[in-house]
Amino acid sequence: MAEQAIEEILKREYAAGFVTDIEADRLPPGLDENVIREISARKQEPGFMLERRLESYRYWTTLQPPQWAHFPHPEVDFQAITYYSAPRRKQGPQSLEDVDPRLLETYEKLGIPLHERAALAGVAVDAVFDSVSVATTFKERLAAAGVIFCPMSEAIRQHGELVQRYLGSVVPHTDNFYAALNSAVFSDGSFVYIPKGVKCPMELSTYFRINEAKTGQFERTLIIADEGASVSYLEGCTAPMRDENQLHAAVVELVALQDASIRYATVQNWYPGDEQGRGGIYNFVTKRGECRGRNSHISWTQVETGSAITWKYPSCVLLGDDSVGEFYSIATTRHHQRADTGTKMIHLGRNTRSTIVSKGISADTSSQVYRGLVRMAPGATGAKNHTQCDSLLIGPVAASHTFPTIQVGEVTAQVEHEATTSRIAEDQLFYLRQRGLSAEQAVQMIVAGFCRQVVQKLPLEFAVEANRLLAVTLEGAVG
Amino acid sequence: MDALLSIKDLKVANGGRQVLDGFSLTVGAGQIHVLMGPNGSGKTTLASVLAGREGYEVNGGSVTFNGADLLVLLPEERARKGLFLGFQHPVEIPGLANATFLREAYNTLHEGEDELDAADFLAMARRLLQEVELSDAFLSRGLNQGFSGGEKKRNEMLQLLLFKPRLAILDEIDSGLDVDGLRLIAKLIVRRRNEGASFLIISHNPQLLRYVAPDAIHVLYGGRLVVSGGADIAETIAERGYEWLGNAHDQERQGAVALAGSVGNG
Amino acid sequence: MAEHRLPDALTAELGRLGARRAAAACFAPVEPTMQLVAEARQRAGMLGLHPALMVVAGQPVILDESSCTQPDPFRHKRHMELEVLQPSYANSPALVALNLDQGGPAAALSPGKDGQAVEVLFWDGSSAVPQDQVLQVCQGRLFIPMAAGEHGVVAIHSWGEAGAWGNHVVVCHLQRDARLDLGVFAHLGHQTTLAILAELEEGAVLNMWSMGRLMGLHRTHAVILLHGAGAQYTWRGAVGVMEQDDSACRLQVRHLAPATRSMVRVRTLAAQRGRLAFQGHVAIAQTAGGSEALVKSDGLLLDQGAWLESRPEFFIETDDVQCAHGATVGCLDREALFYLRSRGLGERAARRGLLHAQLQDVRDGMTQTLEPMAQRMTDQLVEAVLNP
Repeated sequence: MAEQAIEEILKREYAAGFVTDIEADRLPPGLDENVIREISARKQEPGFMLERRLESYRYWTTLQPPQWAHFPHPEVDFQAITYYSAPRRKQGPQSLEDVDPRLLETYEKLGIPLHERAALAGVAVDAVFDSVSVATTFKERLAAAGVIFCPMSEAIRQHGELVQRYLGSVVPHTDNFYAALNSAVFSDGSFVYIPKGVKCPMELSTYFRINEAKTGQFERTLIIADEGASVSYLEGCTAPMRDENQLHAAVVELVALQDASIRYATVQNWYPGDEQGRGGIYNFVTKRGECRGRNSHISWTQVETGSAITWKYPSCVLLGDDSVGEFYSIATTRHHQRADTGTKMIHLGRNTRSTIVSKGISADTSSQVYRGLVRMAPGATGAKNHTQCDSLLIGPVAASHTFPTIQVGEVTAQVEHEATTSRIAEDQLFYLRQRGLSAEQAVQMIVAGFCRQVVQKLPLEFAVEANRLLAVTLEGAVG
Repeated sequence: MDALLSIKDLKVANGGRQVLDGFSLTVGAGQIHVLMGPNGSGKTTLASVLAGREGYEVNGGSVTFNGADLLVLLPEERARKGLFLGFQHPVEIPGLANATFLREAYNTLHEGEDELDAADFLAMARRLLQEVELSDAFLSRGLNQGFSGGEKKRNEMLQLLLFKPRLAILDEIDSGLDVDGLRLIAKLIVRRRNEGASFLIISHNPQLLRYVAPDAIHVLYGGRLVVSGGADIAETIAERGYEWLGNAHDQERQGAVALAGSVGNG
Repeated sequence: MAEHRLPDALTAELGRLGARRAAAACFAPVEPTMQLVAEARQRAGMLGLHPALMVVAGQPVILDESSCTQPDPFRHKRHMELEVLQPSYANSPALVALNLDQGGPAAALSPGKDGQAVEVLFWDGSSAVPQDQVLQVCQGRLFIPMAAGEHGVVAIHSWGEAGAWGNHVVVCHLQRDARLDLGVFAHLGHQTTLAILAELEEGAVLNMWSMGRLMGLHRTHAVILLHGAGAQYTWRGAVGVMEQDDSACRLQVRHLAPATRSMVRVRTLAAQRGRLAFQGHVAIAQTAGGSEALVKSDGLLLDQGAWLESRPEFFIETDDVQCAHGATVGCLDREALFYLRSRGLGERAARRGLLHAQLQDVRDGMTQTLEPMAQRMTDQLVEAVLNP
């Protein structure tokens, strides 16, 4: 009976799978130096940016795609992908009134109203559609506080100095294959700068949407919290249902200076592919934050429900003394989804602390990997890490793998790691059903309970939305 | 008085062993019945089969609850008809807040009535927590997560008071409780009985039986009821254990079954 | 003495690890001379052993024919062909392959049935081994076949000299309901790579204990196949490194049948500039419903400059499992140290006391006949890491 309930839940469809019919201004598929020059030209970038792109591209051509992930995937044909696609629009500065109503409608349908009067109170949104940002809300109000929140392409033109100083300083283009590719072709993304001592007055949010077929999305996000600043940021993503796989290779860099704090939450709901495993997004992402200053704080929270393949490890480099890194994650997979995710906590500074809580739920024939690294470098005196990593399996052929690595070279450091793997216990289901709950309700409640510790970490402003989304994704993925 | 629960000649096997072999019992509305028996005699099996736990093979007999065939129903359907099982070992469900669970179950069990809003529900739950002498903190903790044995049993009683079932089967509700806890639970049972609820209490504890003054005490042995009667049975068992029943089982088998069948309607 | 080229894979592995002798692309088997056999006897005496078998420079020397034989190729064909010997299963196949290609003849044990431990001494090289550019390799092979229902106790001791390298393979095959208690004791003084490969049939039980200093570039490499329903494996280890040791302990447990159980509990110590990596890899196949697995590793870092790595890995392909792993790394509890010292213990004594307390549970459930040696090994290890 439990199986039936799970069956029911698994049949739910992907709600964000529609396509927006809008003319696109796109480059032909394929990648060479000309394409990169063209992307840079269309974005009217200063020279330094083009040079960086070309350097990254030349480096990328020397690399082979990495093979170490724990899933088989067909080789990505990098010449078949379109690297730039933007909804056609009028020239000149864009205000919300100028945004194509079809785009507004798209975001409306996704539950992200962009009109400021209708928008979620207290949340500023940057909406990225394929390769470009189409709208950013509440810019003026943020500017009054000195906060810069704008599309990356705009930041490159208008805040060149900040971009030059920080872009690539956490994830250099030499970091890995997909980071090199992103550094060469990235099209848009969000840029956030919180000046000294400013507590960002609103939640910031970027919503990524892939619409065009055969298009890759290579977004680049950079968040800088200057001394004593703090910000909370949420990222959401969806894509239409398509039969072919699409590549999403983002790079996210966070920099927290002394006494600064960054909370970064992701609700990732890319199209996961159908029951047979056709289609879906390849989500190959590099996310890393650096606690550069003393007493700084970076916290990653992720709810990963989508993508055919997820391959990412939001990490923290704890350089400043007394800095804190956190990673809270829920990953749910079903059908043929594969998720290889986890985190790295690199402790370099004294008295640095990190916490890792990872909850994985794999259903059907899906498979999940938690892969983590906790490293206590010599000199990270008094550093501490606590890791808890639990997996729930639903269905006899669901798979769950755990590959944590702990490296300790500091005699005063302490590391603790706990992990469990199990399925929903029959007696838990029976207990809830004895209290009148249906098997389906019971499964959802148990899974929700399993995830609670992480859901609680999402920003308060998104609590309702996140709970609703989690309920949907639990339905969509039970969990 | 009409029978609320009527078990006739029930036969149940578990893992190839015939645990219940012709068990009959009738419980009327507002009655308290006590079921005793040595370990492994099938008491928990009976409770599990009545509540609909999977893994048991019913190979004979019938059970009607409020006039309808109980055995064809799903566990949740039985619960919604007013059958409550107080578990011997309530499970822990980490992360599922007790309050969330109680409210969801309450609204399911009282479907058709106006759903209680969060504030009303909280007020009611707090009042009941006081009754079972648990602090408010238990509402936000995970369901039974890290509760002591006694706290788990009090949480079961809280649910009994909240859901107001017509029939509660309490499987060793007294285990893990101290004397005060025992007295409290007995008091709550009696109160619910006075409101018209029925009970089937599985217990060895003569103390509890003294407090609740059951309508009948039954002894399960070898898969059947061998003796039914009043409080004296509990005293005898407290003194002599169950061994003497072996003889009773052989010699008075027919008589005992006849007696058992008659008590519930008496 | 003929020289052989080291297989490229091994040279590469040793090179990667920065082996001090890895420059030697050649190795030479050590000949088991009368002098070496005499030395081995002497060492056995020093350890208080009565070995049934000595593997001297890779060659078996049988001392007790009632419990040890040269394997009859026909009878032991099965053991030689065990799945675990397929190099594809090995994480570092180069070492196992080298042994299988170039190793000396095997010996087979029939463990005693009276609860007495059958003792084996691997004696690698001698003080006479020249310390030149040629790596002196001693390669022994040992079979421990256990017939259905048999119970046995085996203690394997390894000892040698710094100039020699032991690269041994021990293959255990436990038939239905057989039970083997196996102690693996690494005595100070040399470096080895030791592969332990075991296959367990229905209801078989293998209990293993590993103790001692994993010296130099030591590698323990164990592959355990739980082939039969209800098979059970436990491994408890108390292993340490110091000086310039750069050692690794890899354990792979594969649950292939229903209701199999495994429990791995290891205590690692790293002192001075020693480096130690522990990897516990547990795989539960789709065919292994109802299985349980536990991996727990606790590491103690005793000096700045030491390095510990722990990788408790799980690879699970069915939902009907109960798995847990835990890992901790830390230093000796300061509070506890202070408490002991405030009661008048010297720092050294206090550290000794805490180390012993840490290693206490490694001997849990240990066969009585292995106990005294285990005690001795723990004492030795504690003294070694306390004494720079």
